[in-house]
Amino acid sequence: MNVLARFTLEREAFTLRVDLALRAGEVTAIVGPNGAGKTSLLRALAGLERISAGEIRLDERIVDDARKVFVGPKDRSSGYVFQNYVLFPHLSVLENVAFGLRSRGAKRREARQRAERLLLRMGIASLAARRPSSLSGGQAQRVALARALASQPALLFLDEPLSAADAETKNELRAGLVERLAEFQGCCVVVTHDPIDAMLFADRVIVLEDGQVVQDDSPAGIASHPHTNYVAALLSVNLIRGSASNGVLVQQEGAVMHIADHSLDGPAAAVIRPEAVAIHREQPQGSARNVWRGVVTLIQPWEEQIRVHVQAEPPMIATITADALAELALVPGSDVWLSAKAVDVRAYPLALPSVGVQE
Amino acid sequence: MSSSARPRAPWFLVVLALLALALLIAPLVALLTRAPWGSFAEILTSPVARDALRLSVITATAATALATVLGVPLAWLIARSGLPGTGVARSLVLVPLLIPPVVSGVALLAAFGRRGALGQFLYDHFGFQLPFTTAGVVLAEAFVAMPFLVIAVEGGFRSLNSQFEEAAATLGASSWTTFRRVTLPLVAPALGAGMVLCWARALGEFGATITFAGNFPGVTQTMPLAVYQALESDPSVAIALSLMLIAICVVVLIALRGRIIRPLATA
Repeated sequence: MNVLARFTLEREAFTLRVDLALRAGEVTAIVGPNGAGKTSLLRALAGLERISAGEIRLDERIVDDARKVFVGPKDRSSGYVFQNYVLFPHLSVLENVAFGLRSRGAKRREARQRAERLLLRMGIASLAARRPSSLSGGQAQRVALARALASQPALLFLDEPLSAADAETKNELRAGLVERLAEFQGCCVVVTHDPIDAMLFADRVIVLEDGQVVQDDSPAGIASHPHTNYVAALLSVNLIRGSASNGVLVQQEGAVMHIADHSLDGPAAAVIRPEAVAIHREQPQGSARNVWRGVVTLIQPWEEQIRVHVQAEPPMIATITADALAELALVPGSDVWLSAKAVDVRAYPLALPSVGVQE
Repeated sequence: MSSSARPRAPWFLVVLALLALALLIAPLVALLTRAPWGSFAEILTSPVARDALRLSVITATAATALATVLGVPLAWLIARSGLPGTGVARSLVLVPLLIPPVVSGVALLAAFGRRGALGQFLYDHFGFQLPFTTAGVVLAEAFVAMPFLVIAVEGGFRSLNSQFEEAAATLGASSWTTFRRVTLPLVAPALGAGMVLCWARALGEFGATITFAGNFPGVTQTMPLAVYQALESDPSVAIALSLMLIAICVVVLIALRGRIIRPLATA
């Protein structure tokens, strides 16, 4: 299902103004500072909030025109994962997941069987009889996702899906989410304030600031050409995807990157902040485990520093000082060496370990 | 200052507090000392006592059921609907709590008596009258006791996180399904407490009942009315019946405490 959202939503001391087309099969991340209107946008799309002007269409059907037409959340074929999950405390995990099937008309037995199969597929079948109050943050997140997906919605909305999880389970949950979202056929919108999540989940990143869309691009496009300081500070990171084993991340193109985490195995992504990338004119001799060659393509001032874009395998953005730029005498076309310490290459798993049932 | 160092209570506060406790307990102790223990069983199995007890339990239960069916939607309307006038409605609910029960009885007669505004209509069209019937007892008890239930349940609805209802809506639940499967179960502790309070108040109802429904053994004579009548003829019977009423209340409280009051405290 495609979503067309062209509307204004006015609240006290706050106006959200958007004009977006979201496509089926696409995962869109909404990022932005607190109070930018990310959650309001999500709630308006889901029908939990009414717009003030404009319209929202799901395919050709108008679901909110700010006047007479308003299709409520129950008729928008959407799944919604709330920031704090909002599992029903009086129902078991299985009943929570079966709730949507039941309220959309499935018989009790059938709903339970389908919910059981989904829990099994998501590796959380052992939680079926538990009450939400006895779940850990990570378990609750997976149950909330299962509940939202159970009735196979055409739209999936996730509000800060990882924010309530502790640091340890975050990596595992993130990997699980990447897998689920890749499978999901419909239109998916994820609100997050974590740039890593936006880069890993999304095909497209929309940056909201003060209720306005300031940038709408692919993750790579956002990273290389940030429109505002906020985006630059947050999202201008170097992202590499590949397969990890024994402390090495191998890209599809064959490039190899050393990472600090030796336990990582299988599909993974790594993030290197531009400040962690060093530029040299000669091949450097030192402790940095990752050293590779490239050609400078673009030099742009950014705040008090300089961003240097280097075409290499993998390509990099490096932040250096104006003094360093002068000393290295860099111009577009310069041949350079790049280096990055393995400890500065933060790696994340992109898939769950395939063996065994979690928890 | 450490949290365990409590200030010493001024002596006159302690004296007043003990006096208050004595005031509450002394009458109950006196009741126990004056009880006709020898003929206790005989009194309680007498036809008058058995009828009154049966009638009391039946009418208090029916009144609680009536108050629940009508009071829960009213509580929901006041707490959640956002309709205009809900503030006034909340104040009106408190009226039966504040006016003397005998005045409630007079008011009920004005409305549902044979000459009453509604009572005449009921009698003319359905040949049905409420005053001096068992149904009248139920109505009087519900009138007086329903505010307890409405207040408790309204508090439950009010403190409920509305995200649960939003979550149900995104899962395709109609507003009725949401109310039945999410909202109501989540306020169950408040509803339980409200029903217990309502039932206890209905069981003890005297003023409105005797004014509106009279005092006919077997038909409208509930336990409090039987106690009142017995006091004129044989005080020891009144004491025995009173102890019986107290015992019922204590048993109900104990039986329900674990299930209702405690979840309410931790909710």
